[in-house]
Amino acid sequence: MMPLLDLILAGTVLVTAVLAVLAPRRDAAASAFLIFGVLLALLWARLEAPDIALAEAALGGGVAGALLVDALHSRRPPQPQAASSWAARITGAAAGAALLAALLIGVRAVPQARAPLAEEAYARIPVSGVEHPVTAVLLNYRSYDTLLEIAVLAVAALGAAALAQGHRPVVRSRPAVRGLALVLLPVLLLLAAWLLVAGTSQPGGAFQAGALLGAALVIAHLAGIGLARPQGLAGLAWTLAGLLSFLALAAGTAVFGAGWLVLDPAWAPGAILAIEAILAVSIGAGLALIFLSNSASLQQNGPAGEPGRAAEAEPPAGAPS
Amino acid sequence: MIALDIALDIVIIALLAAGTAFVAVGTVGLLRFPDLATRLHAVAKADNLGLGLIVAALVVHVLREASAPDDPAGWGVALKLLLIWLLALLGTAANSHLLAVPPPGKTDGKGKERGEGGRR
Repeated sequence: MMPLLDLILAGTVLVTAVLAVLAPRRDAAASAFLIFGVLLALLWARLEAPDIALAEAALGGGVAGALLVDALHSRRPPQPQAASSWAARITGAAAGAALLAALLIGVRAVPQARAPLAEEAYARIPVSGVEHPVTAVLLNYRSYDTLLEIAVLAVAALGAAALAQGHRPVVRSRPAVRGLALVLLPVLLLLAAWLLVAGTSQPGGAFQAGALLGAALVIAHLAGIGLARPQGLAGLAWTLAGLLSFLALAAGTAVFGAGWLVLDPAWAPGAILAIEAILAVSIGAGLALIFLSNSASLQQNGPAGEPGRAAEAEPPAGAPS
Repeated sequence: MIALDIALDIVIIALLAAGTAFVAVGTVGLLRFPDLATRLHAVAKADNLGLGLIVAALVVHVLREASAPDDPAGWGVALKLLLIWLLALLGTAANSHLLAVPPPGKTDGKGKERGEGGRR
């Protein structure tokens, strides 16, 4: 029974992926891509990788969805392009087939036996400061990788903020949006906090919590709730706080401790939870900053005469809201 | 006990079948109905009811699997399932309203803007 369900799920993932690429209309392609993200999260869950499933669901369904829908709303559809030539299509198909073959050969070359790394990761959990092996890998054994990932996100957010022209104005939203947001925001914040704390002992952690926080900030902005808008200097500060604290921890362990990012089991639990909390806020602020910056530049560069989101965002002063 | 188990199985299967049937009917409506309003009408109502029936089936299943009748863990999962349904109800209602009613300042009196937007 279960293999049949898995086959159906995998097949649907493939179909939505093909639709996302081949759908002639952009709104259809974007919808297919968002459904693809949700199904991919289910697939990760079936593969017993709940951490990745949570991250995919939060990022693919939340922030990526907001960015795609925003782009759909704010930009005129592209002019129809001339169909690509047969030579280009055949070259593309051949290149794709070659890549697929190379990947299949590579996967088959990987030994089937459980890699010793997993055994080591499990064996050292008692001294890692956390109980969940994925969190132990991310923030203790391989925290250098996580540090660089945070740096990549910070650079991306900085780049988006640098390209933004002016701030996105506070929107005046419709009552339905506002009401929905007022119910959703507490749930999202509670879920983000729970994922953050739960990450030490079960699936969850800074990335999942941060992605939810970013989605919550985007929803708050779209609903016209201007409590926390990560824009301007404050937004940059929140976005960079995670990277800077991580660097401070690295430098501190290098100068006073046993070496770069070597955590002493005595204070590792507290340090990991603290750094995860800062990282979650930073990731959330960074993702929301990317969204707000993107929207700000879209709004300013949007083609004249296309009301798009600008008109929806700012009803005339006399309009009932 | 075996009789009770079989009875609960029948309840769960009936709820699941009814739920999937409602979702399927809603999808048929989405595909077959001619315009935005009737499509929203079909999808929002049928899917909400379908999801509710599926959630009810899962609640029965979870409470049966709980080790004791008043096992707090079982009730916790059941409450979370109900919360999912309530949030989905709210989301569907808000989404349908946003899709169906043009935003203030954008209406041209005929809802034409939205109609075109849906087919772009």
